[in-house]
Amino acid sequence: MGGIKKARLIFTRRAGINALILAFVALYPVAAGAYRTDVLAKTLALVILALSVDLLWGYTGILSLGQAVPFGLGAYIAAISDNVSRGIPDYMVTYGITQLPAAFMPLTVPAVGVALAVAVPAALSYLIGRLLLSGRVRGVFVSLITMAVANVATVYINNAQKFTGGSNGIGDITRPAPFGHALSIYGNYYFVMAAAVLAYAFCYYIGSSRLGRVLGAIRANENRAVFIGYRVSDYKVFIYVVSAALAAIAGMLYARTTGMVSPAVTGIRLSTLAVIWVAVGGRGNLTGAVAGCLALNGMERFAAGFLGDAWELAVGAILLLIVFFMPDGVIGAVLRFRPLRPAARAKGGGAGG
Amino acid sequence: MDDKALLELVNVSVDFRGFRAVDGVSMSVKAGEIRTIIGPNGAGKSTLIDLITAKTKLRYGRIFFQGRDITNRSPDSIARIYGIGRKFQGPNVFGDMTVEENLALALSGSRGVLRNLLRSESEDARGAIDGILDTIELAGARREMVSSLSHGEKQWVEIGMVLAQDAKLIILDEPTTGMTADETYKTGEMIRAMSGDRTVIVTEHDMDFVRQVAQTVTVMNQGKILAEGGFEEISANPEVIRVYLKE
Amino acid sequence: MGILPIQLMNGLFAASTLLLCSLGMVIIFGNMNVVNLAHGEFIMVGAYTAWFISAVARLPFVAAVAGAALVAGLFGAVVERVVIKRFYQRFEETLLATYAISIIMTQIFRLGFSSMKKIVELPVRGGFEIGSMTFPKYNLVIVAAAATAVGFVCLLFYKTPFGRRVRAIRQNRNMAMCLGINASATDTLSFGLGCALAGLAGAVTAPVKIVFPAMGASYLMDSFSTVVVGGVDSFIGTAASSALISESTSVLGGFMSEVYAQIIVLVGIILILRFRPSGLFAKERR
Repeated sequence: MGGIKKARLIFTRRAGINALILAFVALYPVAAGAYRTDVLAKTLALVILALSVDLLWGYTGILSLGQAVPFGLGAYIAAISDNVSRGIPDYMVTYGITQLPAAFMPLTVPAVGVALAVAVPAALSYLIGRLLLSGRVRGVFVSLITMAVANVATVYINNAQKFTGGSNGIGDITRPAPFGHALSIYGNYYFVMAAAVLAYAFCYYIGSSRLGRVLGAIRANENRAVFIGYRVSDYKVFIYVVSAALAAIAGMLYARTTGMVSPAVTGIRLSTLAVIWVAVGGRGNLTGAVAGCLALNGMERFAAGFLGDAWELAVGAILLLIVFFMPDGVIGAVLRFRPLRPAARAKGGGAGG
Repeated sequence: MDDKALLELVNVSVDFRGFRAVDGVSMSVKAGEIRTIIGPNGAGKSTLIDLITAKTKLRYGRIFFQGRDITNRSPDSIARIYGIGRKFQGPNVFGDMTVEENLALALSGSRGVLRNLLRSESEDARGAIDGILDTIELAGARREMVSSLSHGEKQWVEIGMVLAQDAKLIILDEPTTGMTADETYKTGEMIRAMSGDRTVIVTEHDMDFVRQVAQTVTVMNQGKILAEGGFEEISANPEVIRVYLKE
Repeated sequence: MGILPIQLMNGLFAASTLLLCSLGMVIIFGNMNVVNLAHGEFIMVGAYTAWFISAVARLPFVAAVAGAALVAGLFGAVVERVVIKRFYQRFEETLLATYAISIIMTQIFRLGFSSMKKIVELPVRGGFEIGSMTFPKYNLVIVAAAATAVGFVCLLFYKTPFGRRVRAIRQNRNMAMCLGINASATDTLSFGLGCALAGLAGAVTAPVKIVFPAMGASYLMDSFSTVVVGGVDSFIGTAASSALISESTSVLGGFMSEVYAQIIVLVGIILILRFRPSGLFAKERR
């Protein structure tokens, strides 16, 4: 089959699936009521996290198992900023803090809080990226080290109770207030949805730019890209930082939607879960990340009622089945599915790349 | 040091765990020439190319390009700043991309992250790609996935990539492996056509091909340069004959 | 006796535990180039088996250790045959598949044995004194077990035909197969062996740790760091890095909060990877 025809087919299918998802998400609040709307708003924040994973893994081939670190940092900074803008939070008082430490003063200004919630995780990722992605560190080590960072981040947040509330986390976070006063549940829902749509558009733009093509080249054959003259480490660090910033935005929205954060938001579990959403949905085409995140979170809600703890078992089983039988994920398989005509079958043309 | 030399190797050596793969090689390549490097397997031809393109770190000696010392610069800056393009042994291309995309990636111009974020393909670039597609005779396959091409065509795609880089010095490591006699001949003509404003270094096994393209031939054996000269002169050299017959 | 010698002694015991838990990973990650994210879960299986044999079946502790190694080893061999085998040299798939296995194993144990912590009693009680400090005698058992296990794998890998086969496959799989080595069977055996060592580690350390379904996660990170610093495929290097990591965590932990000690050690590991990608104790290769 000609490359062009195939590309057009994939494009149309992807647009179709996207339109279905968008219509569903946009109309959901009409039927669902306030509680469920709020739950889906939380999932939409996680969709942005999934997109950040796809940017890094699907586009560039860097598999981070610590994407919850920028997410969680963004969430915590947003949470602290929200709390301290209304005085000294209760949990700090519990630990005997009567005067806000100087380091927290800038966070009392909401706009600065938002800026720092993105800038701090991005800066940390820049440091980690420079160390991990610009040398001869193998991909598998990058995965494992990012996982170790997530581990240490959780331990740290658990430990720094004075400032983070320790294992209790931070509660009493208000919804975003882009127009001066906090949004309603429905307002917040559409606010988060708009952010997710923008995030998708941003990732889509990167994928279709020349930059996206270079990232694809790095994923496919890093060595060749070097000898064409690309400074590959710059590209990898750039996308690592951009993806961290996106994850931080997701974390920020998540914290202000759920109203509370706990150390788990920086941990290995959320990091690997995000990777699982993308793996199940299919990496590299964005739609897979969105669909995987929505579907698995939806199923979790649905199954929690009768499966209980066994839901986790189901996640493991689903992941194993996907790795075995659908290496491109569900959406990847749908996009590439084509009924083979006899002639094509004789050629064994199923392995289309 | 020779002033007119584009590339100058001075007493270059490297060893791997005690084995000296390239041993005190000095060599000078003039601008615009086609240089062929021949020699039996393990003579050090590919290692020499690895050294020039900084794939392997140099232990001893120095490398100059246009009079500037490029010893142990990073591989990407050798390609980007100095304009040395390399085709690997056996096709090393992006199989999951189309022919056009492979060339577009290699196309000279911006290598910076931010500029590539804001840039799409220009008309100039399209024109350049059209020209290269004609040179490598793959105009009809521009939208084909590279993985679906034949071995020889993949080799041409990679040659096209080096051309797209607009390199001053083009290094081709055994470009005709896996080609039919006809394809090999066509490749030889491509190389002759691209020399002139560019300088070309080719390593090769196929003697007919060497006769077709060669201006100066360098013969390597056991990491050293055995002889250097025109094709007729080299093929009459008794030492070269001995090395080749022994093989 | 000052604080430093105590920290050093504690570091030695911690190092032995770390070494014991990492040996299996040296074989599986270092020699077979497989990232097994379920490594900690095989340790968990060993710990549960030890608990079952000693606390439920009331058999001697030696039987518990042997049983744990056997169960974890057999289970590992099955996992290799069914899953790992398909994904050699494809690290992303291996990562996802072994992570799936780790979830499944943790959940099965949670459903089967509940999240309640299990207690394995110390088979050796009492303490011994150095200067004015008393240390549990069982710590000596762990040190001895770690030393024996390292000696055993070194002999196995460098003095037996099996070890030669594993190393041959690592260096040149095709050539090894041409020489008549059954690569597939050797893979299963060595993966099983790695898992058996993990199970053994789980059993030996069970009396001094808490046994619960999700215990594997912390072991994974610790073993991984140790193996990386040690140079991935070297048993002696891993022994040295266990000592280095445990001693530095322990000594640093004496002067600052444990969390900062962990952060410093992690930063150290990242720097080592950056500047010596093949580990601190490995010879540089081309």
